[in-house]
Amino acid sequence: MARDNAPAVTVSPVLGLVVAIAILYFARALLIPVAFALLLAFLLTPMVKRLESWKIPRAPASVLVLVAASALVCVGGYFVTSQLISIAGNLPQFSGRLNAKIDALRGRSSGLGQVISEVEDIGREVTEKTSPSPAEQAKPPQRSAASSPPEPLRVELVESHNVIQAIRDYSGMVLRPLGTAGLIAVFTVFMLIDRENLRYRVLRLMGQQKLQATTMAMDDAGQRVSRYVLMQFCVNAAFGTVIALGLYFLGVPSPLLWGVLGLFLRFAPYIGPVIAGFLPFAVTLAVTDGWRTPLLVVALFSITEIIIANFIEPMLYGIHTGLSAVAVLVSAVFWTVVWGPVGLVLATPMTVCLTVLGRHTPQLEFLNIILGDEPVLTPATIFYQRLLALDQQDALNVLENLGKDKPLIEVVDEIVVPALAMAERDRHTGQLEPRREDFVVETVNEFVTELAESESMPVASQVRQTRVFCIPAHDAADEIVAAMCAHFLTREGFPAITFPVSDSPGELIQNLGGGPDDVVCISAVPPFSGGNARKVSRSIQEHGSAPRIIAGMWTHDSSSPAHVERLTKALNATVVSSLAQAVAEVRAIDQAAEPVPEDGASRAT
Amino acid sequence: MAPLVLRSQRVLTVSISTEVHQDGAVSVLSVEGKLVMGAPSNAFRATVEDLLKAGNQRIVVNFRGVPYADSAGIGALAYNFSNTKAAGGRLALAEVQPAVLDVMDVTRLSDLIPMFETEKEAVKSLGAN
Repeated sequence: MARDNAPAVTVSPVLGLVVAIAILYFARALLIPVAFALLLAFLLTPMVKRLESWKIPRAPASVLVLVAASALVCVGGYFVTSQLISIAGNLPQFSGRLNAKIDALRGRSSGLGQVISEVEDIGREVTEKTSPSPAEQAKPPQRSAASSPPEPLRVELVESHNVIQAIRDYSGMVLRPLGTAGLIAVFTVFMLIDRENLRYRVLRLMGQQKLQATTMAMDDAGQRVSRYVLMQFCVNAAFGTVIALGLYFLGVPSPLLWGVLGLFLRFAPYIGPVIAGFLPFAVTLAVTDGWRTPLLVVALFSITEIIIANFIEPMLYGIHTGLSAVAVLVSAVFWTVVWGPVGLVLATPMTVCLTVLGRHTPQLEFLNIILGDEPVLTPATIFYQRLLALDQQDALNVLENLGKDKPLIEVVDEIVVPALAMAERDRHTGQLEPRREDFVVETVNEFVTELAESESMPVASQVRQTRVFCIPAHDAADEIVAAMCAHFLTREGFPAITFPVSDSPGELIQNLGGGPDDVVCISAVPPFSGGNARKVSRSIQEHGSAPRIIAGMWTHDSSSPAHVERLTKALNATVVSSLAQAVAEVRAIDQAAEPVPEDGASRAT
Repeated sequence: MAPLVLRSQRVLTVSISTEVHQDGAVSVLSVEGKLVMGAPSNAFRATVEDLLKAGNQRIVVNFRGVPYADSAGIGALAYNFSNTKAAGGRLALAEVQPAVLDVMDVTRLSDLIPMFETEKEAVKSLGAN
């Protein structure tokens, strides 16, 4: 039965993916305007809402916003086009300079020019030797004695240019983009006007059961795409400003034009900045003497783009879109292949939508894992994985990197202790080889030792009264966490002792004179932490030394009060699930036991 | 609290050496090295356990070569003291270094475990009873 189902499970996602890509490709004439309209709707909805708050009905508000946006684009487009035409018109007068630069590049004096010329010479000679001379070409083809068939006569069809043909050509060039633009405008207006209705339809389509997930997905997608578009606009505006200012100081003509062009072209990832940089570079080549200014233009674009792409964008987009840098690159290539240059502009928002879909739909979770920027492994898992790989240096590097911005106790609670719990779980299920187990224990052991050595014991005057015995419940992992607990308690001024695993911890405490003023902290790493901690607790209580007991059920989920209460009763102890909680509990016990000075002043901590 | 900065990312191969000799009825265990969690504490604990199993119930631990002990090292010492006591024997310390003495003071173990300035005094004290 299971065998029959197996191929279906394997093939379905691949088939689904192929079908989805085929639909995206073949239905692109419809899907591209819809995607653009969706993007515009995300962008313009806040403005429509603002107009609605001013009592303007939604339909006129939507049209008004779209018309205003279109007018803005048209004005910008007109400005850019007229400037470009003006520059193109002036270029012939600078053709001398341009030719001089090209000649200089091809000049025999330069090594590169020499190489080019020699390659051209060789090519010319080869062509001359292999192709017949003009005289030979002029001769009529002679039929050889052999019955070789006559060579076919090459005929070239030349279309006659007439007015109808020209109208047909130009109307195709103009009407097609205009038609697409009109379609986008219509879709956008309807999406703006009917946005609630559309949302409800999508919700209905996804089913009543998935109401919450769909609502969250739509909100999430809306927020992320809006943020992305806004951030992209801000980043591009910054890019355009820097470029315009830089070009102005370099003395390049029309710096504002190149800045504005840079702003818009940068919406196309990767290729946009290159085109934006090429145009002013070409103009500078034509209008300036020498190479200094053109090269400075290239440097300006390159440095600005490198800084923005490598430092500013990852910081902003990493936070705002939830896409990994690799996903942005792959999505740019994918959407360009499927939808052409338009796909490049739509790549990031479309991928954001797919990632959000993956985040809220369990069946499509792989999309979120592949494309998203959320860490796939927890820090504890990464640390444990490096330990399993027997790479101590890397494991400690991971710990140091992950713990850069956190207090040490949090690093231990969130990374080291859960990693030990994973090792214990694997050991109990027989999945951990002895040498790896030893390595894990040894490495964490050394980490704790180094921590302890790095700080000296508090001097007697700073020592608190409450003495703490940290007792491992069962094995080496418990002992290591007990030592960590002792370390953090010592830092707080508590005299703490870590005992080895003992068969009779109660007798141990009794022989050391433990009493009601002391605290015992039982250290128990899962699995089986409950049973082991119970044995220790019982042993201590049987020997009647009556210290207060804290049960450290490390990594235990303390979110269920009922469960914690059950454990508290079973262990007859205060249950904590982290070292930070344990330290806080000991502190509270110490403060409660502290004699209140007669003058009412409390002891400095 | 300060963020995590590992002092050094070296492989800590900490170990101690133990040496036992008899001085009359007293077994003298000389320890050298840092008494810290893991192998050193385990070795120290196991040596005393072996002595007890062999019937040596008067044990002097010479700490002249122990410059440092962490909470687990002190725990191992306390464990050995408790075990010796439970077995009806006695354990004393000799030549405890200042850093270790500080830790014993703050954990109040110095009130419990007899300590002597010299090994001879410790042996004499245990041998006399």
